[in-house]
Amino acid sequence: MSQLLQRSLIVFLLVFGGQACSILHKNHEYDIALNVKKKTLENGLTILVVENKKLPIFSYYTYFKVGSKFEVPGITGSSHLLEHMMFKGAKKYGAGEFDKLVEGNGGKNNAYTSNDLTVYYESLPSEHFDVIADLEADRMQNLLLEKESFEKERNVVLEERKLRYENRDSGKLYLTMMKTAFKGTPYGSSVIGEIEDLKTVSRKEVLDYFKKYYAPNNAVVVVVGDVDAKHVFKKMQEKFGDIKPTKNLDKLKQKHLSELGFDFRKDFEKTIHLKGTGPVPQFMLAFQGKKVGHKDAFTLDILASILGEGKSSYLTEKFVIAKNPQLSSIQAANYTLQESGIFFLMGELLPERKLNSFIKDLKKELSQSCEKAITERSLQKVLNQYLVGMFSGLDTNAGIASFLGDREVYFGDYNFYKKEIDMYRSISVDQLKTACQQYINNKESVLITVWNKN
Amino acid sequence: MNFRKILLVSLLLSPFSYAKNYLDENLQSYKWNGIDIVWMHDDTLPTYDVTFYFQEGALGDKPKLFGMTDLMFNQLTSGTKRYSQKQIVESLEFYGASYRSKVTHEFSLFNVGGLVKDFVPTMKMICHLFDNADFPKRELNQTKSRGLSRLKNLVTDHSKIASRAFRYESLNGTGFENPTEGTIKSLKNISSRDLKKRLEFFNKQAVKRVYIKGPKEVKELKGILANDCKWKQGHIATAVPVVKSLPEHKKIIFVSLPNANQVQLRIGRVLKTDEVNIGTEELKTFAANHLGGGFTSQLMQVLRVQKGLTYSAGAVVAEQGNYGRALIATFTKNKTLLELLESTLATIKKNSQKIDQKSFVLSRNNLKGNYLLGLESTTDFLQNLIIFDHRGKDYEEIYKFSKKIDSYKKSDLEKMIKELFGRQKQTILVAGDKKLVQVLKKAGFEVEVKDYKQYL
Repeated sequence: MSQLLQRSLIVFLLVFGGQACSILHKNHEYDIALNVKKKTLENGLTILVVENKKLPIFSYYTYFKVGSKFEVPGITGSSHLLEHMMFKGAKKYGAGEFDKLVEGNGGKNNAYTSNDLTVYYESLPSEHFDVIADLEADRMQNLLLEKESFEKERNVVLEERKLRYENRDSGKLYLTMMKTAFKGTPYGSSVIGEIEDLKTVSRKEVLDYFKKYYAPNNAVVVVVGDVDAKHVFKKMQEKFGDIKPTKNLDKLKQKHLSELGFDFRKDFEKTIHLKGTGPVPQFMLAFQGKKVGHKDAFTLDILASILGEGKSSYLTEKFVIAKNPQLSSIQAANYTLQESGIFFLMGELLPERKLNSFIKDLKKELSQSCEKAITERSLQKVLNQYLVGMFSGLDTNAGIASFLGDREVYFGDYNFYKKEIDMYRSISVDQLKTACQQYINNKESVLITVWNKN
Repeated sequence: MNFRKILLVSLLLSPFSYAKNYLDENLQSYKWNGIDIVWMHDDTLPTYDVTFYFQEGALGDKPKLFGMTDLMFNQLTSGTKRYSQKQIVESLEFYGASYRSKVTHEFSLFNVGGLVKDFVPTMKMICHLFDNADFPKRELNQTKSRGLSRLKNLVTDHSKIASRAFRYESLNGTGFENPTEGTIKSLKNISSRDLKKRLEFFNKQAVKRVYIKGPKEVKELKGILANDCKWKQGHIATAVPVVKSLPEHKKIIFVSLPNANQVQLRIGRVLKTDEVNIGTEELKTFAANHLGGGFTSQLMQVLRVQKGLTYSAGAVVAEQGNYGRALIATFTKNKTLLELLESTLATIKKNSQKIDQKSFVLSRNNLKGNYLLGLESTTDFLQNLIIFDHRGKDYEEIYKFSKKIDSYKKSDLEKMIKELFGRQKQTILVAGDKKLVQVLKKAGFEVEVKDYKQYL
């Protein structure tokens, strides 16, 4: 069921690193016109609908505003474990019924979990909208968490953990980087969960967690496709209207998050060498970033693209396609979370290159990059790339639903993309250079390496 | 090419007969300079997507130069007499253009996408590359070095290494066993001269087709193909081998992986030439979907839902012009290898003998619905057409899919599962910690142990 971190990261970077350029064109020739209808039920459930009659199909996205940041030691991985268990039966539709009804009606479904969110989605022929609304309402209020399937999914998740992280050098890198960079904050636990917690967390603990956070006032539903908006709102009222919200949810969430806070620890600088299986070293180098929506986060998005996105990016030219290359690949990313963010580089050395001397060269090059890499042309290039990236996600119902849902959840406004465009549009070369100096050049960093010689 | 005007989807996509689809009105065909053009007129977004199809693939790579075609496409941007690699990639990326190639054994694709406003300069640059790529030695050596590094590091992804080894073993002796991207040994042998000759063949002799999605501005491509690519239709293709027999694997192939705490399992076989493109493609897809096509598929139900042995289990059947592959892929923790293997074989056997009505109907509906969902993106739709043309299938088959699936009985499905995945014809490959060899042997399986490095 899970796409988990890697998928979430990709989605995130595409959306928040690549969408605003339409506005960057002064004539606005690429403005997006999406006819969105919005309604919020009395219990707090937010519903967005876009009618798209191109094909007789629709996509249904449910965003729960809960992710690993709300977990505590002992129950890490619960959001993700629930992602699995949400397909294992509720009161009206028992074990196995969810998948059978979706797939048996010609549809497909999946879900992913991140530090901030858990998102469930289905795509089906449009005559089955009512069934999906009923299924989703059933599992929101009456999830079973049957003991037998709970134990089986525990094992499945442990195998998933090995597959994605323990047996892959790139997975080990990412997991360690996130845990180290965000140590001491709610983002410092892994989304997939600690092995010991996954082995010991009880059904009751997970059920309590579910009851607290999987409520209508903590959810946004986005429906896009061949549907009638009036019918959708009516059906959603009928199926979800009586589900009780969690009382004092905002206070509860705020209390939890404020206990640890999101400040980076003072001794941020750290180097960790992991034992891996690959004969060639891979690395990640992370700097402190900013949260979603912060002005500097938009600037860092562009900076990441200039430095390390595409064959013509600055660091690729310097280290991959240079006369004397040291790397087989390098990428930069600005990973913006709801409460914090990191800016990181990741790459893989070429055989027989020395890791230590490369890291020295990289840091030296980064310090020069603030002046050398950022130009009017490199800025415009990134904006063009963002524009293509944004449109490529909008040719399916699912793409549109995800585009709107992300904005509604992160910014409280599905229409926020217009403001985002203005934000990107307002960023100048000088601001980029300033941000580069402020966040990257000679700043404290977390360096993680992995290969079989460590 | 079997191009025929798309019929009204509303008539053919039963049970979704009320479909309000625009495909029938927007798919057009042309012949530009002898080259077949398929254009999906789509102005819903200010973007375009162009795919060049060449009826020539990795089969044309000489034995010691496997990976040459793939490398040739990868190196198109490495330099011309007029532009350096740096200038080329910067220019294309400035336009926001994405470009990628895909080389199969039988055919190759080169795809370009971007913003309509920059369509002309982008395509002119792409055609300039096809016409003038020089494959400078320094850039080629760098790319080869990166490719070798990637292959050496493949051991960090056990799933990928298992699939690579399985391809080699299950197709051994058919002519299709070598990976299209080459091997550590073959990549070292490829020179700039080899790539230039290969490109010349693609430009002048290979059969070409062009698939375009976008608004009317994309018709500018007609002049660009003629003047910048300087393409005319070619008429030569490397002979595609006929697969007459299956490789024999009485023993389980065990690929030893260092420090593996999970074990990968692959079961499958090659489809011979006389088994492909014979009108049973839909039934084969049905069989694969029933066994491992979704969360409700038989393998997922048994291996994950009932037994909690794995995170994923999938089955797939794919056909090209002269051969096909049937494959099951899954994995588990070391201590449950035997249970996974035996449960997988038992599930195949059970479904080749008796399928219950409920799961039959569920698989059927699931497949039909997902087929429709797969047509949603016009880019994906065009990819379907490319494969149809390569295999000489009529586009109308797309819309007959649903009816064809409805026409199959349980007994047809059982028979096809047996034909595709019956135990006697299968290659079974296990990749994991060497200690597991004894576990398999103790259970009575004959095992042939191989080192992963021989597949790199």
